[in-house]
Amino acid sequence: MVIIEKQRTSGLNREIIADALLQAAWLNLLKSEHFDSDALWNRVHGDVNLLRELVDLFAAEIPVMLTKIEKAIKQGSPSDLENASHKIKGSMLQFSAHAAAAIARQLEENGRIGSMAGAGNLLLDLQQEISELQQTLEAMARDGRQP
Amino acid sequence: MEDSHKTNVSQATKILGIEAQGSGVEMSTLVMDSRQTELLQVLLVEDNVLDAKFITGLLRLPTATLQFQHVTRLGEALSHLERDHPDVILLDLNLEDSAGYETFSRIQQAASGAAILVLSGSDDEELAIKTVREGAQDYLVKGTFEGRLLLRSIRYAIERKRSEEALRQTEATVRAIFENSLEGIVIFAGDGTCLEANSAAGALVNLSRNDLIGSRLCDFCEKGIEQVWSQLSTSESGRGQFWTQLKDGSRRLVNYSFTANILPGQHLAMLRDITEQQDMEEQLRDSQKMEAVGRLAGGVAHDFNNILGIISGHAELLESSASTLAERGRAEKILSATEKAASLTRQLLAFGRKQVMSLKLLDVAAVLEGLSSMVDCMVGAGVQISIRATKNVGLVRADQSQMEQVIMNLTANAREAMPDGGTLTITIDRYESSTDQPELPPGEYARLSVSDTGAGMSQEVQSQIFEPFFTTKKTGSGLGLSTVYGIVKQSGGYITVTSEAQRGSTFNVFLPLVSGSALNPAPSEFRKRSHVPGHETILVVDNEKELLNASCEYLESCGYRVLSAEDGKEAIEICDRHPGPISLLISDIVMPRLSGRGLVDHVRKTRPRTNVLIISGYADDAVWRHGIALDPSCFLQKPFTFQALSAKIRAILDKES
Repeated sequence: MVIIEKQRTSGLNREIIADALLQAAWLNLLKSEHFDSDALWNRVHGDVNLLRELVDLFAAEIPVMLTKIEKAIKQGSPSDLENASHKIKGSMLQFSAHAAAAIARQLEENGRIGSMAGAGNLLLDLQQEISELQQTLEAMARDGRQP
Repeated sequence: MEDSHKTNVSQATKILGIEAQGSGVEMSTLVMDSRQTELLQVLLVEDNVLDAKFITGLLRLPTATLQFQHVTRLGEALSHLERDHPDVILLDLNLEDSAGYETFSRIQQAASGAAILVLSGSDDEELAIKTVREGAQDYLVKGTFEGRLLLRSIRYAIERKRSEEALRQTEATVRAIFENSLEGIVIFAGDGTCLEANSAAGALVNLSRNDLIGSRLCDFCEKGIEQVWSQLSTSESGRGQFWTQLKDGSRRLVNYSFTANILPGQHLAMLRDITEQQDMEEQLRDSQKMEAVGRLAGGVAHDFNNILGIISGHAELLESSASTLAERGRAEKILSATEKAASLTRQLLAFGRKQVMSLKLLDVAAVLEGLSSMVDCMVGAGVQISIRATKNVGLVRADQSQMEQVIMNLTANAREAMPDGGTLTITIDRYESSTDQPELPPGEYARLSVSDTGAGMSQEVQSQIFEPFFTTKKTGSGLGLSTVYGIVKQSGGYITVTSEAQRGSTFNVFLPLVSGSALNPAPSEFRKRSHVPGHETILVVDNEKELLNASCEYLESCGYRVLSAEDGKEAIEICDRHPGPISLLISDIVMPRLSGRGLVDHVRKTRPRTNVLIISGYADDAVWRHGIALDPSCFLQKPFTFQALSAKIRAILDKES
């Protein structure tokens, strides 16, 4: 885990520091709030082949799941929204994508209580999270290592 | 073993279609044993293809010998479970055709032998607890486990399931034994409250199992048992007996085996109702006692009969040789006293049940009259006795000793019903039954009634009174009235009982009168007379020398040629030596050196034309018990008068001629 402590960053090359900070902040964001790449890497035991298979399947399956959520919102079907969101939440948890899982959980809760309020915006947030996650996952699979 | 491991691993990896990526680290972190290399059948129920791939991917471990079957819907899973029996089911609860606990419940019902691991996207603590409580071996949230942890969870889940299954089978066995045991089983707390009990335990105290649970068993038992069990609870075990005391007044004797602290503060008692067993033991003891008394009475009667035979024999000789009326009168008094004594020995034999049934025409009033002194003795001073017999009632066909037994048993029963005194009334009269009484067919009867003024009997007791071994008395054998019933039925009669609370009971015995029979019963064999002189040769054998001498003297006075012997061996010697015919052998049964049976066998072989007359102080059934095949008419029970002997001899010899 990289710890960002801005108060202690003095006397070094600003660009290097800024770059490092950016890198650290991104990593931290991935690990602690959005996506924990360490956890995923450990979970697949560093098995790159497995990771590639999963990323390929991710690319094929996740859009289908997102489409189901979008359709449920458009049709105003809470049960479909709950089911589709629950499903994508489980997958996000498997990938240690905490932010995406949290948004999916909120959508699932909306469906459970029969409320469509804010569901569209949540879907947009989820799509954004998943888009970024997919890029990171593809990089991991391509490079055969953690970002 | 090693080869089979390799085979299993190979099969598993082939089925998964992947290469096992082995590493020494993984091998060392998991303890390997035969069960870990066992090929495990896994049913993965997951509708998310991505998640399913993730799970199977995580389990690509060299130590994972798993064969996966993947289905996406509940319906498919249930169909699969009808065909196959996986070791473990990895179950996502939310499927397209089912959701939540319902999914688990349906799967669990269909797969009783498989371990179930719930893999859910919902971190729902309540649902997790519910599924585990209802039988899931674990509940894991997706994203919280990696491959090795999941594999370990699978193995532990299977082990837990197997242990649970073994425990369930053991529990089912123990429960079946517990529920079906004929012995009462109770588990109770330190304060005596029943925590668990079976139906047999409830039955001991007239409660259902459910009512006994929560009650205190000691509340239904005699005082003191609670203290005993309290002391036993500080030791390990103990045994003993106690009486139950129930509200309806009934009591049961219970054997118990007590084991303290089978669980902390919980004690076990095994209970066995031994009331009937104890009753049977008491009845057996009574029966054995009666048997012993009967043997004693029979033995005494035998010896006494021999003595009476000597007395009566000599009295008859005195009578026949008397020169004055006074001498003849004294001899007759001796004979009369002897006859009374003989009657007493008959009753002793009847008491010992040593007599076989011998039907003859009887005047029941005369039988009662003969027993009146015994009735007095039996009833005792506290009870007044009234005996009334109508004259000329008529004759019945019955066994005299059995009729005596009927009267004595009914008398004994009446006496028992009046422990504080009262009046016993015995009457005999003539009774004509009309067609209106179904329990007594139309006809004329001699009615014997025995009434007491005791406490009376309930209807329930009356309905069971003639059943063998039924008794309301602590010391009763339960055979007295059943014997009466049997004798009456055997004699073609009927018996009824009427009773009223606090007024007493009356037993009526109805014996069919023999139509056309005059009231002159067959004369007693004791006084039967014969005046026909004899001339044949008779061999008399008796180890009672005095009786032998008297008998020989009498028979010689009748004109017979008499040979005598004191035992069987001597008799055989005489038989073999005597040149002429011997018309009749008169022999006792029980004799020293050679018994009557040995003698009779020899005589029948060597002198087949010789007739046999057995005389004995035992009852006539003793002849058959000693193995002598004999016509009953060729038996004469001691004591007998010489005139009766003479008549019997002529009957046998004249029958032949």
